[in-house]
Amino acid sequence: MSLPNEMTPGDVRLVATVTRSFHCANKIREGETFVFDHKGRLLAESSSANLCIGMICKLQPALMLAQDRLAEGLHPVGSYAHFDCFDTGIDHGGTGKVYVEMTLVDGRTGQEVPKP
Amino acid sequence: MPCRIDPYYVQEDDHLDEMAEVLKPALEFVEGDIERLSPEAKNLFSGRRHLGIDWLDRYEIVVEITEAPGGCGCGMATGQRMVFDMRHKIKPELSDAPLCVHLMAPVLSIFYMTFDRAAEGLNPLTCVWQYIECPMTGPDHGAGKAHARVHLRDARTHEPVTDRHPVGSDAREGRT
Repeated sequence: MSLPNEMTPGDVRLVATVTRSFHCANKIREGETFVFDHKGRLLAESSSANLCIGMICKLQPALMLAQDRLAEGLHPVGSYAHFDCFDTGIDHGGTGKVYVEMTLVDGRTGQEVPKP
Repeated sequence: MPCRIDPYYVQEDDHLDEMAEVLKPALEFVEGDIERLSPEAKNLFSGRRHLGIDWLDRYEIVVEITEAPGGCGCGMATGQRMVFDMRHKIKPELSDAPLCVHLMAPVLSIFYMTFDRAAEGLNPLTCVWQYIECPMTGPDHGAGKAHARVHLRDARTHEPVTDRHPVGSDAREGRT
């Protein structure tokens, strides 16, 4: 497949939306977002979450995966769409935890582009 | 297996009483949560004891691009910077480099070390790993990689902070 809706790579927005958060010292809340372009550049002005690299850097493999899938003409978000931050959380020797789900958004419309 | 904990570090029965009132709202802890933290997690907060209660607000980490041959296409340029607070949040208003997740990936390790070193009463910036590079190699054997150097600076004056035992630390104040 090619990108849906005649999207170009420049229209790709990879959006990690927070699905759960607890004891986060950086006050990241459910529903907030981290937004990246197709090259893996964080778009700070489009993101609503505090820009904690404990979460952002854990997404680097996900963004490499998305680039690989784009290069193959696939939807950039495949089966691996759920990620979490580097802290292990209070029940596992750490303190807090943030979970996100990655989706594809069409940068022209702001609409999510579902997986086929 | 339980192990003896060196007295310098937070002990099992140490519940960080002197900072509990700050930690509870900051981390949305309810009654009993601090007691549930592992001693290692409590050490995360003990930097306040060893470097001073305000250490997280006192410094910034600066990643300055030293080479950017352009192979990555992310638009990095020599001299550009990414600036982070000590809670490992990007400060976009102080950063002029593209916020590329690939070049930022090695910065997370820098912050693992800042908290570890703060718990030891040391300058939070590693004395070893101050040079980073983009992890994307490419068929040119990395010739196009962006490289960067990391330094710690005073958040107010922007002067580099290089003392092994900075002002406010245990050793500097004669507490050890």
